[in-house]
Amino acid sequence: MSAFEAMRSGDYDRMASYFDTSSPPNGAYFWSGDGVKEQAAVIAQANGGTIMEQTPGGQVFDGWKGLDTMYTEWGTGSALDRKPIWKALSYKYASEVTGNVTYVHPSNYVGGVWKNVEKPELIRRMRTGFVTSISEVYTDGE
Amino acid sequence: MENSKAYNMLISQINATGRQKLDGYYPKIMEEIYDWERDEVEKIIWETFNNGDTDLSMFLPKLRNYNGVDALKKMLDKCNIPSANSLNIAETLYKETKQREYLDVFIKNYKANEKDYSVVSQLSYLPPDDDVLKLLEEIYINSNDDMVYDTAITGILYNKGIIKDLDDLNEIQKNIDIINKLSCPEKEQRKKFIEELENGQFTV
Repeated sequence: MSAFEAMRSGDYDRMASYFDTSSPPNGAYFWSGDGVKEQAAVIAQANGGTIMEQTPGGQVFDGWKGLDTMYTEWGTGSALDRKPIWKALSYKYASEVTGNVTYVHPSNYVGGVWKNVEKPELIRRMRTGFVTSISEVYTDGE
Repeated sequence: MENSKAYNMLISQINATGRQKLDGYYPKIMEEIYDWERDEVEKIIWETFNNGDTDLSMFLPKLRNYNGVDALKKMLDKCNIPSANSLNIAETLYKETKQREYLDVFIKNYKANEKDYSVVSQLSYLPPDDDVLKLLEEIYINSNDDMVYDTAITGILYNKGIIKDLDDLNEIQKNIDIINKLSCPEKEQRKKFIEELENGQFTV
């Protein structure tokens, strides 16, 4: 089965498995908040790391202008729902990180994808020894 | 006059795409907008929600010009299960009403895909109560998926008051040995751990 076939059949975890979303050890950066993606990308690059959208696989989806017109719905659970696509990519990224990971966000805000997709996987990876710690960088300097 | 930061964040998130859309709305928008923005903000939220953006559900009970709770109930009736939309609405309605039928929406979503740990995570973030704890314990004991029962563990610890804030990473890291011990492949052992947690005999 190809990535395209997996995507068409709605098997987004399998689809994501075809894409390289790997990050260097101690170099995985996560982010939440309005306009924080760009800040997190700069911080990650300055430290030899990456955010998901800077990985080869992340770039494919982040730059895919037609995705929103192919998958026109959000959260509906239908075959046209693109939310599970992004969930699968975020999970894939989190499921491969090692060492110290960094979460960039405003001090008063924690995002939904962090809470319900990325953090649970990072806790598991911490429990199993792949992740050594999770650091936070506040974008508002708090 | 310049709009508030909260107003600008609302508009930005309504128009968000990609992973930014997955991030959801800043939850204190209604508290942090200016008074003169309120009618406009309520109209934007109302219309955008009714066009299907259920990430806005949390704001509906705070609307003054519209019956938000009624709108949530009507929208829930139209939702597919499983779907993120049904979970968003059920989350808000459960917080508002504490009615069991909204927890049942979580159960139906979980039963539809027993590997979807994000449903369990969203359940964990509900304000602690006996029904939520019982449900998390059932999932923890009976799941065959380590990601799912791992996720249920943090929810159980939150409901038990061992973890006070699920978003406090230091607190999570401080309790990693407890999480590690509770993460166990044998269901009978997990059942025993729950009994020990109930009667205060659990130790790391």
